[in-house]
Amino acid sequence: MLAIAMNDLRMLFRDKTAAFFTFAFPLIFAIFFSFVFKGAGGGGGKMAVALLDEDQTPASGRLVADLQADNALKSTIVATRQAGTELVRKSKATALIIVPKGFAEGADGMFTGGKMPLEAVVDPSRTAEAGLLTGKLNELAFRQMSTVFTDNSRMKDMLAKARGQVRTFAPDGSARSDAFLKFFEGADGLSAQLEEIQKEDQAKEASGDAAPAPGFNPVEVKITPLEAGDPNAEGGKKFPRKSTDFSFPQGIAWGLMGCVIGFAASLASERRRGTLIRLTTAPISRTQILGGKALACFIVCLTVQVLLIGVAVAMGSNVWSWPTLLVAIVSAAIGFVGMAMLLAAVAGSEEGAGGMARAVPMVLAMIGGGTIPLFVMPPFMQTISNVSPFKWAIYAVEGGMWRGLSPMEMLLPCGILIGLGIVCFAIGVKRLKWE
Amino acid sequence: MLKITNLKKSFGSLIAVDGVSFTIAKGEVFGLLGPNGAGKSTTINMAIGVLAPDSGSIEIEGVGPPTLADARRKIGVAPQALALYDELNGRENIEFFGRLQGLSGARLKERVNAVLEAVGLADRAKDRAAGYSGGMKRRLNLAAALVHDPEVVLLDEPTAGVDPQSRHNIIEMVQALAKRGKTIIYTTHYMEEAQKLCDRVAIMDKGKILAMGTVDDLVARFGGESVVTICRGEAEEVQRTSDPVGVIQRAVTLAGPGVSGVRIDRPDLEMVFLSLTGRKLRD
Repeated sequence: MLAIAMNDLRMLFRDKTAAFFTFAFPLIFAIFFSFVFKGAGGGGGKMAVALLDEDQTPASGRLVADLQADNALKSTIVATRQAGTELVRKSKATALIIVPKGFAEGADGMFTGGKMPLEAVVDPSRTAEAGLLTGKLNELAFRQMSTVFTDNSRMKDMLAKARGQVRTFAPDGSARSDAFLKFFEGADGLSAQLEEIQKEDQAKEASGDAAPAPGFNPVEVKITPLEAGDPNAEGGKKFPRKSTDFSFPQGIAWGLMGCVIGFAASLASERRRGTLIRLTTAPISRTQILGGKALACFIVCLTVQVLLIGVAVAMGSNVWSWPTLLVAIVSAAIGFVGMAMLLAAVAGSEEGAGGMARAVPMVLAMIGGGTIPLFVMPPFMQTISNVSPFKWAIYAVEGGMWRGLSPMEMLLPCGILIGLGIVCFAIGVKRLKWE
Repeated sequence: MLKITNLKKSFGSLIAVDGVSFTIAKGEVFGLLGPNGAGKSTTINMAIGVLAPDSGSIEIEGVGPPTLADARRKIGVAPQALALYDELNGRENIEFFGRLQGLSGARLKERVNAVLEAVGLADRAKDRAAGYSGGMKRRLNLAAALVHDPEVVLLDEPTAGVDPQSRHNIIEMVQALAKRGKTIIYTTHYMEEAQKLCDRVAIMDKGKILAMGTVDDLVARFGGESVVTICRGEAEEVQRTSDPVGVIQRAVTLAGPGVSGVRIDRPDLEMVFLSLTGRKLRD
């Protein structure tokens, strides 16, 4: 047993590629991502959002200003809901945040049961980010309310308005009216106390020992998924209809990764079998040999995608545009086939190919948002993510399934995938070694 | 016809092939002999286009070097390491390699049937190669080299580790190929095979050809004298001589019935190899 173990270890160390991916790569991987997230403090990137202020009040203006100033958000002000949802549909924003009419009124009616309404239209394929966005909106809305308790004049205004509102639902002299008025008297007392506290806080702040002011806020954030469809143009269909609409494009990308893993070792397998010598001595070129492998990989990639889309449709998904989806899956297949062929050409052994085929797609999936949401990555990593076929494959397939991307809009993801595939294949042919 | 001129190849500081030249005529079986690491495989790999030589030239059937597809079409290779797909059956293997060579349709079917018949695997053609014995795999390996009816055939240890039946089949095939005018390079560790099959032999060591010629020529030049062993009861008398029959006649005449046995060890390729390289072929 010991002899076998020693022999295996010896062979592993003699295969430089296998040894690299067994030992060096995990180390580099860990160091690299430590570096990536170190400067970001675990999430230095910004989530792109569109902002629409429909209320157009000082209160809504303060919230919008806070949203714009927030370090975790990269905000773009939009004039209409349509403009905002368009940014989300094109994946240029994770969500459209709407401060609807009635926000200020809800804020002012806090003491009489009013709620501050907020809406967000989110990209359904980025639910993790949507969850974080909900938290962020609550935080910022609470901050608005806390200003009531730290701004004595606002509190007095609110109490005056609240007294007026009580009369609309509780007649003077009624038990309910008395109860509210007693509460407001208490609040007046609280206001006076807060004024004192504020002065004390200011004194503490001057001495560098400021304490945060307490507050509460009944915020109501309404999150709705993006509906990209045009009911009139598409016979009333709305997209995405089902969770499968956005979960299956992710599945397709992972399926393509599986194909890469399978085919990256194909030439190394030929070498092990000894059959590579028959391929190389046949009257065919390197391009034909790699092309034959690529064709097989392409067929498998297409089959995997068609199978997954078929299952998605069977589970109730509607496809926005079959021709667009066809272009998307062909482009995605080309991109991933090119990647597989490059790995196949540079791998010297099956072990090395296996290591590369697992590591490289995993990294591309990570930087492409397949495992870690892109927004938590620092800006430079978000830029680097543009080289990941994982990201573009998902976007292109979503474009055909539910985003409703136009042919012009499909040019970018499909062009990147096809270009990547061709470049990788060409490098693979160049790097293909018989010796 | 295969013509190799002043071929050189180095791997770093190691000179694997150092100025090798030879020409093999149509219908000739050329034996390339040498110990492991002598440079035989490197020479063959350059001849089939798998390795690029540092310098020198290779010409196949007057077409040009093996980098040309037309030249490669004229080459058939049976590598020492079996080059087969275990997952496929015998026929599928040969069909695939035939297609690689540009065969298709009726011609492909005809050639596949012919080579499977020739190597004695027609009745096992539908069995997966994984289930073949070592000898059957060797024969299938040879069939894969011959499916496109090449003019130049390179056989690298084609009988290594095979049973007597398969060895006999392979040797017969090689002889038949030579009769059909094929140019054959044959490497082997079996001296008797080389002596039986090869019209000419080159002995390589350390990247160079030490000697080249017919077997008889090499034996005469480098084999040394015959060794005659005369047994008298328990005692043995060993003599080296160029006239073994004369030695035996004299021993019997002088000693009479005291001679209980005689043995003549004539020089062979093994002795040629030993005298040229200082070691046995299988060392």
